[in-house]
Formats: sequence, C-alpha cells, structure tokens
Amino acid sequence: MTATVVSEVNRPYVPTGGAKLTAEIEVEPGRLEEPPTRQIALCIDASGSMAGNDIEQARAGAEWVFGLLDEDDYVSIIAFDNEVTTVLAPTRWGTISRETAVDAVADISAGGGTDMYSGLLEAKASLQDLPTDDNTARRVLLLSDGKDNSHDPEAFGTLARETDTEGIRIKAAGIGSDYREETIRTLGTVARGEWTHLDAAGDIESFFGDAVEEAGTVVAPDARLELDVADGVEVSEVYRSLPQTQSVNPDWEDNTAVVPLPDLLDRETQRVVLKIHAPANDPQDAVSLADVTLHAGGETTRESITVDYTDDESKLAEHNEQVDVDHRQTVIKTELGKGNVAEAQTQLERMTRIHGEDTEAVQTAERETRIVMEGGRKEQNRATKIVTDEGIQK
Amino acid sequence: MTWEPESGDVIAGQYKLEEFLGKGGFAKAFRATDIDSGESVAVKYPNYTESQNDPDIIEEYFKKEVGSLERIRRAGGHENVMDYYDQVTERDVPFLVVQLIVDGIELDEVIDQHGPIDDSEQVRQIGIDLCDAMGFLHENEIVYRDLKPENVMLTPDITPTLIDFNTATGFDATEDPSSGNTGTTILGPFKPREVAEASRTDVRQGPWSDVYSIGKILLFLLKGSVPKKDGVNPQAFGADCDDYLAEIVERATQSHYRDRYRNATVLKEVLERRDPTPPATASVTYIQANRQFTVEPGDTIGRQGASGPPASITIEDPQGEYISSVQVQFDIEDGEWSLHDRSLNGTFVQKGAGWQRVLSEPGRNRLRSEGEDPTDRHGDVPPESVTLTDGDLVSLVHPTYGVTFEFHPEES
Repeated sequence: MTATVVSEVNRPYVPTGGAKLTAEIEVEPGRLEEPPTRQIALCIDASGSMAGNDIEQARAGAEWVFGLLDEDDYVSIIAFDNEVTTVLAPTRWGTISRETAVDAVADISAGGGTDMYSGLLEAKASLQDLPTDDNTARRVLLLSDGKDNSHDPEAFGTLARETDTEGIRIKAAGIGSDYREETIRTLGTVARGEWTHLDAAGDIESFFGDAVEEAGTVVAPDARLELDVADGVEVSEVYRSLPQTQSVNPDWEDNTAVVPLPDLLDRETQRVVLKIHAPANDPQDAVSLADVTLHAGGETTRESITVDYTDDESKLAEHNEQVDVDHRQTVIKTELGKGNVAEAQTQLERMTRIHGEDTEAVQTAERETRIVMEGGRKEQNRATKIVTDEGIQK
Repeated sequence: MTWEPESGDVIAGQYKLEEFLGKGGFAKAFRATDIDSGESVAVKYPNYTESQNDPDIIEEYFKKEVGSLERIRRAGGHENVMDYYDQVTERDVPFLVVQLIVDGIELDEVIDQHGPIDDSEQVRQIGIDLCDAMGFLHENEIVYRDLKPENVMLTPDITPTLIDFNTATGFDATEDPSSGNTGTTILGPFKPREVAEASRTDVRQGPWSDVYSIGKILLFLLKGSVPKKDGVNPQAFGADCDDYLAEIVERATQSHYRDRYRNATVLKEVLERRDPTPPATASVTYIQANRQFTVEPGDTIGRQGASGPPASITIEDPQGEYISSVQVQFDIEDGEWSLHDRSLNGTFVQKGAGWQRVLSEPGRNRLRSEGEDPTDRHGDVPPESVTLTDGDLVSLVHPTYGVTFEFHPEES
C-alpha cells in the first residue's frame, strides 16, 4: 500500500486579519497487495421480537458468511437476548467443517429481552485475544431490532471506544422500526465502522456478506490523521465525509488533533472535511496552518494545509467553492442521518444563500432533505452516503 | 423538460403504447402494438427522468445498445437473444422497437418469487442456453460484459433470453484497442475483475469475461444470492446441487481468466457432458515467430490491435490489416478438430500435398461484390470450415503471407 494525502482549502489567500476557512483532506489508499486475515464476530439479537423471518434470515446470513471465509480467517458467533450465548467460539475457519458451523447456527432461537450491551462485550472479548499482525481486519457485525433499556447511547459509546482500541471496528445494523437509532449510529461511528438500517429480513444476508467481503479489501487496518496545528490556529466542525458522513470529535493533545479513520480499503477514497481558523498574520506566502500526517499500515504520509497571507483584493477573491460545498453537504447529510430535518434545513438555507439555488449540490441537498422528511429510517441512512463519480446506477 | 410517453400514445404513427413494462438506469420500456402488423412488441427509450445517471451517459449507453442490436440482426439473430425490429423517433425521443418476450420474467424476479432452483438439471439447461447465446455473440465479435439476472428473461418453458445490450461492446474505434477495455467502471458481483476494474487493469476482457458472469448466474439460480468473491463453489454456500455443477461454477468464476473455461463454447460443452474437466486442447505453433499457443474449442486467432473484442490469440499483422480481428476459430466435434474461417480475406490449410482455401460467407460475398470470383481453379467454392488433423498447416490470408501455424491435437 502506498497511500496519498491531498488537502485543499476554500480560500488559498487569507487577509492579514485572519479568516475562518474550510478545508478538506482526501486519503487515497493504495492497492491491496496481500488480502488481510479477517476476524469476524457476528453479534446477533435473538430476542423475542426477532422470532420468525428475522432470526431465520440471521441464521441464513451466518451460513452465507461461511461461504466467504478463507482458511486463515476466524469467526465467532454471539447471540443475545436477556442472556448471552456463545453460539460459536472464535474458530479458525480452516479447523472446522461447514457442517459443524451450520449445526451450531441452527441452535440460535429467538426469545426474551435485549441485553445488547453484554452481547457486544462478549463479541469484543471473542476477538480481542486472537493472534493479530498488521494485516488483520477485525469486525463485530451487530444486528439488532430492539432497545437495550439498561444502557444509554453514551454507555454504548464508551464500549465502542474500548472495542475500537482493540483494533475492532463495529458495523452496526438496526432492523425494523423499534431499535434505538442513536445507539446503532454511535456504535458504528465511534468504532470507525458504519451504521446501517435494514428494512427487511431479506437484507440481513447482504449486510453480513458485504461487511465480510469488504473486510477482505482492507489495506490498512488502523489509520488516523494527525493535524499538528500552528499557534493560534483552531480546528472545528470535523466530519468524515467518505465512506459515510459522520461527525468526529478529534482527540487533542497539545497542538495535535487526531482524527481516527475507518480502515483503509483497496482504492476507496476517504475524505475528511473541517473548518480551520487562520489567525492574523503578516503578508507572506505558503504559511502552514496545519501539518497533516496520515498514519496507516505502518507508513506515514505527510501533507500540509497552507495559505498565502495577502492584502491583494483580487487574490483574496479567489474561492474554491467545491471545498465549501463538500463541507456543507457533509454537515447536511450527517444531520439527515440523525433525522434532524430542521437542522438540515437551516444548513440548507445557509448553503443556498452562499452558493445559489441553481447549484447542483444545493439542488441535490434539497431533494435529499425532502426525501428524508417524507421517508423513514432507510432514507435517513441512505442520506449519509455520498454518490461519487464511480457509481453508475444500473 | 423531456416529453414523457404514456400508455395510449402512438409512436412514429406505428406503435401504440400499452402497459408500462419497467425501467432501469438507462432505459424504460412499454409493451406496444405494431399498428401495421398487429404484432405485440416492446418499445424502449432512454430513461432521462428517473435515473440518477448523467443524461450524456444514458445517451451513450442507449446508442451502444442500438449498435449491438443492429450487429446482432445482421448476423441473423439468435433464439436466446432479443430480436431487434426498428428504431424510430417521436418528439425528439429515440425509441427502439424490439421483441416482446411474452410472459417473460427477469431472472432476479423469478428467484424472488419462487426462491432458488434446486433442480441441477434446470440450472444446467439455462446455463447451456446462456452459453449458446454468448457463443453466438462472441462469434459476432460482441462481448456482452453485463450479464446479470436483470438482463435475462425467462419464459414459462424455462428458455432464457438476453434483453439488454447497453454495455455490450463491438467494434468501437474510440476504445483502447490494446486492451479491448472501455474506461467505464461498472461494479457488481456478476462482473469479473477485468471488467469491474477495466480502467485500472491491463487484463484483457474477452470471451472469458462472460464465462465468469455465466458462472455467477448459475450460482445465483442455485442460491438466490451472489457474493463478489471469485472461485465460488455453490456447495460452500449451502446450495444443494450436483457435484459436477458445483465444480463447473467454481472453475468458471476464478479470479484469473486463465484458470476459467476459455469461452462460452467450452463452458457449454462441460455443462453438456456434466463433467467439469475442460475438453481436449491442441497446440498451434506460429512458425515464423516460433511461438506456441494452446487452443481449446471455441478459441480464435485474430489481429492484434484491431478495434473491438479481441480474439483468444492475437498476433501482429506483418503486412498491415489483412488479417481480420477474428480470423479463424477452432472447434471440436465428436473428437474431431475443425477450423472455421471468420475472415474477409480467407485462410489456407495445407493437408498433405495441397493448400485448401477456407473462406467465410461474408468473405465470399465481399469478393463477389468486388467483382472477383471466389471459386478456385477447379471451379469449387471454398468451404467455410475444414477438419484439422495432426501436422496440418494453417496460413492466414495466403500461404505466402507470412503467418503460418502448425496444428497438433494434444493427447488427452
């Protein structure tokens, strides 16, 4: 892997009095050289409400995953209701027959309440002591249709952070209309995975399947951006834009902010957008506001967010609108993902004022806001995805 | 605002639209009646209004479809390929008039409604028909590239018909002839690596690309889902099918094209035999270049750098462009090898003492149209194909042209 990092600001020339800028950082991971070993924990809600088609499809989904695994991959299966059951202890796929695994899965049955917290704790425990190297992709794939009434989203946030620290990403899926969205969203966001809404039982197989196949394309399982900012510079409103729009709270240490990134996938661009406040300065060229370092797969790649300070009005007028548009779009999409239509509308009005109602991005944002307003959880979830040039709809 | 046709509208004074049939990312379709003949047809037009795709892309793909369908029609059509009747325009919107597949249901809907097919025989038969259709397209130098369940209609008597041709490629001078690839990236589990990553790979697309997709379709029929993963054995995903079929699917879907069946003809043959072992191979030695190639039934030799889908074996033309992009094709029947000429200029085969000219029907027609006589000095019309035996020489264009192969069937 050789990743590249590119940054851009909306205004390359800054007045000597200082200004608040928008910046975007794009990470282009290199090619996959050696597919990673995957360590997958399926964490399945087996509470009473999952009875019938949902639990049946969850079992079928687990069986589908078996077809995707390679010999060196590990898999564990945890089911939870009021209690946690280890359906399949972490097992190297090469040491177990498909038949044995399928038999284990057949024992999952639905009944009881939703102790999701304990289920996740067990799923994390099932992976954390497995042997790893720097080419291991670890995932908890959570599927739930209900609420864990004894733990709030904040508690799940803490658990997600602990899970993330073990190098385990959480892909969290809520199915149906009764799960607590904030919990599912927090798990996926904090543990650098994704959160997903599933409409129907028929979507379970592809949720599990896609996540396992995607884990096979990881080129750098632990990636982060370090922003070493100059004195007086402030960074705010940080979001991941690709692969899913999510707000980020960077960890600060002195002048350095750390923005954790999802695992880098084979040639899948990631984008982070942020606001950066440039303090007052004398007229001069190429002033670095922040040194950006990407740490990924044992490699470091450096880039710098730089501007020119000037009093030249014509230069100051130069504006890279796309950077601004990308940031606004990300904010709006993140709010739509949370179902905050009102906040999205406020942002949209601001975006329209600045960029004009004829701008394509403004029109897209308008359309998406309307779709979420009229739609439900599926539309919310879909809003968090940015369609790039690569995607041609068939 | 683009005009949107509705049921009841009459297109070009001839086609009366009836029920709306459906829409995709590129086109929408109505059932219609041809007022002149009273026949039922399907009418397709670009989906400008309800697609997320750029109008330019929609237009480009629509044109591609017309081009491929025209070429298929010129080649006489095929039982498992949608027939093309007409192209008309109404209020600036282009319409394609094509065969209506009566009571046809797209494969993905079939599986949605009825679940996966447990009967290996039925899956095998659909596979054979798809191979037949693909073999026909390949012979006519079309690589389909987008074989997926939505593009195949199944009629109640379980006959599949290919219906969409917007990503099929034929001769197209704008494409990079060295790779046969276009720059467009279209993702999906039915596409082999060399198609999905067309813009970033050097691996040539070819008949083997469609072999991969047929393999994935067979898995889809057996299981109802398809992963992106390569080399998939349906039994590893819990499909209850015959062992030979599982092995054929696994081999057809390998990552590397050399590990797959070479072309649809070969895939068809192994399905027919219910035996995953690839058929006999032969070797051909390009004498002037001292290079040896392995050929399987269905493989072709053609000119390197020609536009359009490449032959299995491509060679540089020593004298310009006299060698066709697909010059000859090898086949085997009842254990006997044969060579079919598919060129405009013909091929010579030396069997023992004399040279025998072999010339395709289009090649003969071309000679006649240029006022030349295709018959030889005995007044015989050269055949389109000849049998090949050990040691035969095959010269492209003419025995003195400088491209001669020596043929040896391999011991099986």
